[in-house]
Formats: sequence, C-alpha cells, structure tokens
Amino acid sequence: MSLVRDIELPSPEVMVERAMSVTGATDEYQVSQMVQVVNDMADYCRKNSITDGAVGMRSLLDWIVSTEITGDPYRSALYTVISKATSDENDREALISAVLEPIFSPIRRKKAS
Amino acid sequence: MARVNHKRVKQLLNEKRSKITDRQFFTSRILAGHFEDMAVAQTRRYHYNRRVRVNIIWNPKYGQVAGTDNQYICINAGHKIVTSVRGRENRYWTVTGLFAHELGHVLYTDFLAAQTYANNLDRYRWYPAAPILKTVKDRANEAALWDYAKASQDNLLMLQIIAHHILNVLEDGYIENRILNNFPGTLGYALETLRASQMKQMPTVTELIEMEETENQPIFYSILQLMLSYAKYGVIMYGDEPKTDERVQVVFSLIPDIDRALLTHDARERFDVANVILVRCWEYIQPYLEEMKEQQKAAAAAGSSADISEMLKGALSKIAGATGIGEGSSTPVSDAGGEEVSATATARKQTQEDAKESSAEAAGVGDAESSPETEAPKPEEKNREGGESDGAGAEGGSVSGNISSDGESGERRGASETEEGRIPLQHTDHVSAPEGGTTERNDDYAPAPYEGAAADIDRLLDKMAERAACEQLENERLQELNEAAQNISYGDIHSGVSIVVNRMASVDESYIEQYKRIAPTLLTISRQLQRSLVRQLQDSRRGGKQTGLLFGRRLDSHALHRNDGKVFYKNALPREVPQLAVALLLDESGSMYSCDRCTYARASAIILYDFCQSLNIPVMVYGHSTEGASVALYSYAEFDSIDNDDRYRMMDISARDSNRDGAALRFVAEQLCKRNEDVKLLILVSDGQPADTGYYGTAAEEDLRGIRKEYQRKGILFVAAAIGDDKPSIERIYGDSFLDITDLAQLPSKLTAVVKRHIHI
Repeated sequence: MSLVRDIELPSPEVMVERAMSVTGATDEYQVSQMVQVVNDMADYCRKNSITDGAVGMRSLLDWIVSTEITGDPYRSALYTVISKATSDENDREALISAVLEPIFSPIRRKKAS
Repeated sequence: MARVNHKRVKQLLNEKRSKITDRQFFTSRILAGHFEDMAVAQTRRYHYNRRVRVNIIWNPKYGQVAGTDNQYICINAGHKIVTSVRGRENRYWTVTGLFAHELGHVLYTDFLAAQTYANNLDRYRWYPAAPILKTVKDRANEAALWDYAKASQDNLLMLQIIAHHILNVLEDGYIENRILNNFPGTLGYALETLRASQMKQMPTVTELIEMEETENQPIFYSILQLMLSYAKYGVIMYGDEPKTDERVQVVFSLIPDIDRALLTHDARERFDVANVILVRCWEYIQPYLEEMKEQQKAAAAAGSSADISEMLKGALSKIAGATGIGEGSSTPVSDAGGEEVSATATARKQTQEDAKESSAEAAGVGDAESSPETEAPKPEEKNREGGESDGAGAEGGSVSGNISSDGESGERRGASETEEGRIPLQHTDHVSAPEGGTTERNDDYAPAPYEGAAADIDRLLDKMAERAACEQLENERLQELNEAAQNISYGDIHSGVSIVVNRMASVDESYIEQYKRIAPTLLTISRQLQRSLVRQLQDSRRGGKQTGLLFGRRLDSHALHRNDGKVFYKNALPREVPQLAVALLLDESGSMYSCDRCTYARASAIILYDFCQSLNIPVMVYGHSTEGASVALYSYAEFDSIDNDDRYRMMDISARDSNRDGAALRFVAEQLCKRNEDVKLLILVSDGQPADTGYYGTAAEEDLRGIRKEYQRKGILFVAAAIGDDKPSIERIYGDSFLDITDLAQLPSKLTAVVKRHIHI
C-alpha cells in the first residue's frame, strides 16, 4: 500500500537516517552519497523540465534496497532511480552522465576486478 | 532549458573509426556542453549559482594545459599531456581529469582571499598573520625577505609571483584531494588517471640534481618540484639520492606545514603555510630571483622585450604537473568546515615516516636541525649514473611523450607515413653476381620485437576510413554538430536584453481606410475556410443523429427502403471541442521588404486574425524587430482586445531592422503559456536566420532550438513558416514543426489551414 502525504523535504542528514532505518542498510557513507545523488537528480529534473517521472524519497528507498541485493549502486540506479525519473532515452543518458556517474561510476568495478 | 545530448557524446566517444577527428570531437560545442552540464549538476548542491562555462581548445603549441577564472574553464586538448595518450576514450578521460581539476578550483579555491593576500603583500604585510618564527635563522630570513622586497619594485613583483606559485602548489594538492573524496565516480576516476600519468612524469631527486648541473637550474626549483610532488601524491621520488639530501630535507622539514595546508578548508591557513615556506626557503629563493634578474638583463640586452615577471612566470610554468590558475573574483562554496581526510593517506604516511626516520638519523649524526645550511651538494658522481637512464627525457619537467614510433628498435625500422630514404632512379649497367651462396634454415629466429606492427596497421585503417568519409565530412560535420548540439543549454540568455513592446494606442484613420479597401478580397479566403468548419463545429457541439451512412453500427429502420445502401446511422454525443489559442509572431527584419514578403505576411495576419475571430479562437499577433540595442515587439492583436480595432492595427506590419528571434520568441511563448486553452499554437513567420549584433550563427540557432524544445515541453505547438531563401536553416532550427511555403501566395491559406488542422473535431 502506498500512501501519500505531504511533508517538508527533510535535510540530507535526516534523509540518510530515515532511509537507513527503513531499508536496514548499514553503509552510511554510501547511503549519504545516494541521498546526494537523488537530491541532485531531483534538482536537475526540475531545472530541465523533465516531468514525466518522479525522483524522491521513494525512489531512494527502492535504490537502496536494490543495491543491498546487487551490491552495485550503479547498476541498481539504472533500474530504479533513473528509469523512474524519465522514459526519454536522451534524458536518461543526461541524468546518468551528469548526475549519477560523477559519484557512482561503473569504472570502479572494472578497476577492482 | 534544453540540454546536451549526452548519448551522442558517448556515441562519438565509442565510434571506432569515427567520421570526425579527435580534434573536431574535442573542440565541438557538444563536448563542452557535456562538461558544462556535469558542472551544473554537480555544483548546485553547494548552492553555487554561477554557471560554469567550459571551452576546449586545441593548440599543441600553447604551453598551458588548463586554467580557470572561476567562471570559465579552458582546457587545451591539444596539449602533449592529452595527445600522448592513445585512443579517443583514454584522451577523453585525460580531458575529464583536467576538467575535474579545474572544477575543483572553481568549487574550493578562494580567489577573493588570494587577491587580499596579494594586496597585502603589495603593502609589505603578511596575510592573514605573520608566520610564526621559531628559530633565529627564520627571523633573519624574514628580515632579509622584506629588505629584499623593499629594495625595488621588480623584487616585490617577483616575490609575489613566487608566493602565488607556492600557493598554487598547495591549492592543487588541496583541491585534488577534495575532488577525489567528494566525487568518487567518473570525475574522481578521470582525475586518478590523469594523476597517474602526471606522476610518471615527475622527475626524481636524482634527475633534478642532474638538471641543476647540466642546465644550471636553481635549487629552489627542485624544492618546489618536490613540494608539488608531496602535495599532490604524498610521495617524493627519491631516485638514487639518499634521504639526507638537502632538498629532500628541506621538504621534510616543511611536511607538517604542507599537511596542515592540504587538509584544512580554510584558505587563510594555506596562505599562512605559503608564508612559512617563503621564509624558510628564502635562502634558496633569493639567489634564484637574483639569477632571474641577471637573465632578464641579458635578454633585454639581446633585444628581448620580455618583462621580468613574464620571464619568471615562464620559468615556473616548466614545473611538471602544475596547472595554472587564473585570476578570479569569487569565493568558494561554503561547506561544513572541518578537516578533510587525505585521499593519499598511505603514501603520505610513508613519506612522513621517511621524514621522521631521516631526522632521527640526522640527529644521531649530530646535525641538529634538518634544514641544511651547507651549500655544497656532495654526491656528484652518483648523479651521473642514476640520471643517465631516463633523465634526458624530462627536461625542465615538461611532459615528454612520443607517440610516433620514430625510435628504431633493433634492426627494424618503424613504418612512417611520409616518404623518406628512397633511392632515386639511377642508370646502372650491371648488377652484382655473388657466388657460392647456400640456403640455411634458422629455426631459432627470434625477432627483435617491433611493437609498432599493430599500430601501423591501425593507422592505415584509420586513414582509409578517414578518406572514405572525407567527402561527406564537411557537410556532415555541420549537420552533425548542429543536430547533436541541438540541446545545448543556454538558459535565459536574453534576460539582459531590454524588450520594448510597441502598441498603437489608437488607430489612425488612414489605416482603417486602407484596411477597408483591401479587406473584402482577403476576407473571402477566410470565409471559405470557415464555412466547412463552422458547420462541423456546431454539429459536434450539439451532438445528434447522423443518418444515411454507408456503414456504421446501427441500422436506421426508417431508411431500409433505400436501395443505395445508406441505411446506417450514428449517434454523436455532444462534446466540447478542445479549445485552441493561437499566437502569430511575424519577423519584421529588414530583409522582409524584398519579394513582398512583408506584404504577404500582413495579408496572412489579417486573414488568420479574421478566421480566428469568427470562430471565437483567442488570437494574438505580434511582430518583432530591434531598436538600437533593445528588442522591439509590435503588438497588433492581443488576446483580450479592448477596442475592436485590432484588425486595423495590422496594416502597420512592415519591414524594419535586425532581429533577435530568441528574445521575441521567448516573450510570445511566455504569453501564450499563460493561457489555459488545451491547445496552444505558436505560428512563426520568418524569412531566415536570427541576425542581430552578437546574436547570429549557430549559437543563435542553438538558442532557438533550446527555446523551442523548452516550450514544447510546456505544451506549445510550434509552426514555423519559412518564406525566404533560408528554408534549410529554418528547417534546421524548427525541425518537424517546419512549414515550407514555396509559393508566397499560398502563405495565408496555408497558415489558416494549419490552425484548422489543430481544431480537432
């Protein structure tokens, strides 16, 4: 059941706290970066009038849960926050390269392996 | 705000045999836009509201790699640092690394405070405070420094440059550190790659000493280089030199201060450290400055006009891995203060250990202070051997990268592109005939390795592909870049333009007369177009039963007697036609006067206006041109007309001055946006490209495309009617909403037809 109620957007620190307690994630550093990305993304969408999707707390929770499963925030982001934000192919690419990749990048995996 | 097509960037990046060259790729607007977009997305969270501009140039001869003045980032993609890397993708990473570095400056460097620092130095004052002097020697140094600075204006100038450079070294280390911590993704990765390649080029202490001897390089130089090496990477490349070398020792003694500078968020602390370094190293700096003076005098005698400050700057720029920061006038982003964690902590720790060790050693030997006072560098023979191997490449610390395989390895020759060493045709009488030759088989053939084999073929393939594409290149590039850059974001670049909206308060009698004279013929066209429509509109509003249909779902029992099969009927529910609002924007630039363009434009405005009025469609008619530096808009008809004289106002439509389409388009679109009709149609009649001072060419086209896209998102339908010679350019700008009017006489009817098409019934 998804209930919707208007509340003020909490500060990033509070968002991290809440997201962690809801999802059970433990990596605070990673979650705080995710929060940062989600906030940037919401801002980017607003500024560029990408309005056919949504970015917010709920996408963040989905993303965190997915990352807990896959272990790869980048890959999870593609199927959660990015795809939920817009359906336009070019807009997605823009979000990925302007907002997501500077923080979470697929290359880090390559380097590690 | 429209955006960059990031997908296109990636496509271009990954094309194996690309149609455009690297140079074209890196200097294209789309890549710059790609970085700008990234900068915007990543800086906004710091509430950094200035827009960062990125410019990428390609100038192999220009010494500087990248620079920024806090608003404008300039990257030289033609620099050897970039071109020595093979492959477009790797080069892209290098450029991104440079970008990340400069973005770091934009975000974290306090340019304003740096100015204050310079101003204070100008008045022979320390900023923020005088350095803490611990030893007698430091005190003496400080006094000597000020004496020297006060001696002449040139001295002060040089001192400032040195201070600026030391600051730059500290700042570089600090910002790279923060970027690595805060942007672990692509930016961090790219910076990491760049740093790795720069680190390889860092000369070791041994090489530095060698350079001091062979090129008469001052010792201060080496110290600066080592400091940079430590600030950036946390390591010092000792080479073959023992850790007791005086240069290393000087840097060791400064390590706690440098660390303090690297980790604090407060720029003033960095200034403080720069001051300390100035004082502590004064005994090295002074001879260096004196020598620079000598050199300048010699150069001046030889006829060179170079200023001493220019010379010094030139000399300092040779330090490897240093990038210049320009002058800027803004403060860094505010951030929660506190200490930063070093990204190169482990390497740093190692060096610190080394420092402790060596100072302990030094203490054991009896050399109380680690700062060296003896002037003679002892190990001289040793340098030679150590530096021989690769020291030659790193002259002055500048980047040395050979891409072409011109070095001959073993007996093989590297293939080269140009013709060389061919024997010209000669007349010969006989050929040699040696005797007693045998045939042997050598199974142990071990070829001398030639790495260039694959690369040569690669080059060949590249060339073939390039040639094949060469014919289309010019055309395609224009098109490609235009298409690709379609979404380059401009924001509201017109916000600074003053817009004047002109509207006749009352209509002149003569206009009314003229209108009445020509109106009947024009209005018949409008009426014809209305006729069919009015009927349909009424039907659809009223609903009702339509009988006598050839096919349908319901049988009309009253019509069954008919033999022609028209026996079906349909029940149409009454429904409201979606509401429509129309805005017409006419180009009134000077070129409209030829070929009766503005006359046709006037006629179409009149017809369209009448058409819409009779169907109760709200309509707005505007013309645009310029008046001096401001954009002039001419309002002919508004949505809510007070008097009913708008139709006469339209007689005033004529050709005027230049046109700054973007501002006018934005204005009208904004007006239209406020309407609450379902369908908003913006019709644009224009004969060509935007043309105003400082507003023309591809950039202006990009702006128009951006505006179009932006307002399309807000639900405005664009129709651009092209009536002049510049149809292709209008089509390029407005894409699918382009309406080709080849025959001017058709303009009025075609335009009205467009409106009609949008009244979906």
